[in-house]
Amino acid sequence: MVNPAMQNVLDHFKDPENYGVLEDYTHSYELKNLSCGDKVQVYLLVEDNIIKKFSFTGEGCAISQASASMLSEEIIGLTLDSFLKIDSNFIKNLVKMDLGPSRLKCATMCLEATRKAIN
Amino acid sequence: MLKKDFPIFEKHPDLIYLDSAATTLKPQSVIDAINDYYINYSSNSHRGIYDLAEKTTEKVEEVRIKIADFLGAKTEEIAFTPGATSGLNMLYYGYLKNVPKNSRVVVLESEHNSNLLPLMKWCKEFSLKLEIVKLENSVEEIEENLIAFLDNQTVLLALNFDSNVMPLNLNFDRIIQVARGLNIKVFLDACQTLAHKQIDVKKLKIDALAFSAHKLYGPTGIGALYIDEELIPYLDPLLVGGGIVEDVSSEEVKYYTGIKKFESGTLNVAGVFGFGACIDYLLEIGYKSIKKHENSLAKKLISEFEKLEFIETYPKFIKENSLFSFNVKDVHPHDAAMILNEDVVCVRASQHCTHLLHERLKINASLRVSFGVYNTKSDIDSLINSLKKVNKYFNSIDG
Repeated sequence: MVNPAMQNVLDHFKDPENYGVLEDYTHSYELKNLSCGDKVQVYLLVEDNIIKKFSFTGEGCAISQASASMLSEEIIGLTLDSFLKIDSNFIKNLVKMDLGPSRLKCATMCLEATRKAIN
Repeated sequence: MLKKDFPIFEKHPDLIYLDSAATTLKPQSVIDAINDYYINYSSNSHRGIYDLAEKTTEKVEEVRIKIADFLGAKTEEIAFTPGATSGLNMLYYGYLKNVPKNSRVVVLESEHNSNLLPLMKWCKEFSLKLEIVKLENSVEEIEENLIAFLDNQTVLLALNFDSNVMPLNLNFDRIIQVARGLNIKVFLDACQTLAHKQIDVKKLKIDALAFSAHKLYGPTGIGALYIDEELIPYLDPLLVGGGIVEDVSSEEVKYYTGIKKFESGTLNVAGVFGFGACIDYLLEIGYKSIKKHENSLAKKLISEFEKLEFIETYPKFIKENSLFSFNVKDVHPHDAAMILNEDVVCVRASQHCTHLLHERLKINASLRVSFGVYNTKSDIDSLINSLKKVNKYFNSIDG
């Protein structure tokens, strides 16, 4: 039996939310994890300091891609200031799995890419 | 086979440890030797003249003799290092600094970054040409390619004796013979070798060799360098400091000319004590028993893998070895390793510090299983059951 948290990760991994390239993005960034070849590219439409649209593309492990999908559901509509308050604990709460330092690096790839895109 | 020697199994009785190529577990005798240093010696080596310090120095030198015997080298050809990466940097800096500019250095693209990156750095620094030989389909083709790169302009052939990802089983006798015929120095990284098979540096006719103790049941943070005595005078020390000088004035420093010029600063003395104990441990078991044990595990793993259509191995046809790289088809190795972790099955999942090799294999990353003396056939059963679970989670239609 797959536990509910794992099932949620698998669901997001197999059928991610907000996956694809925005046509009208204002910010974008591609982040790679050299140790495993994972990558995530984020696309944001930012207007009046608000994240109006957000999408991502990428390939890699279920945690990296599912956490991107989960994060995408949370940040559309946030001001940049509110977004910048999001930290790795927020991601841990989204994923609801026990993540060690290496797995947390996978889980926070989308968050890191989005921060870099904004900066 | 020898789980009882490793106290970690008392704390973690369910542990299925299949990552010995990353680091081996530590037997009680090694832990005892490290404690022996801190409890009964605890002084610096090669410094003080009081009894306690002299005894520490004697013990360190005993271990140096042990390592020399272990490799078939002379005692004055062995230096302690913080590990193989440090040792290889010392070797490449020391040797390549003094060779003519535009000389060639030859290496294989399957090398671990610990070997490849120091070569890239020091070749660039000293304006040398680094030839990275591509892996071809067969071992014979790789050997031919490698040999074809060796010429009068080549000053160094630098290879790992065994890959940390997939076995190549190169004919080193032949390759070294060609290199020596052209007066090319041969340096080997033996990190993945010495826990599994013996190397006699004199019989193999190599000029230098580096390895770490932690991959042969010893402590982390300690390794050794073998450098042929004829080569030592031509190598400059990379790291300078206390303990390696004959004389110092405000104008000039005169370094030791022997092997100890590579041991600046205080040694990891506790590590040296543990190093000695791990060699004793290895020799007590014996390479013959280790080989027999590993082959029986490998046979079982190969036969189980053959039954699983969802396993893709690198290379495609695997032979008996102490490590195996593979993937579960269409599953990222991190995801597979995460599911294996639920069953306390520990494997490596990454590019294993071999980015060029993974590029050649056209894969992002892989899983790696590697054996130690504590593994059992039941560990393989656990691995196989967990891999079936991985496939079910990720590849089933309704998963």
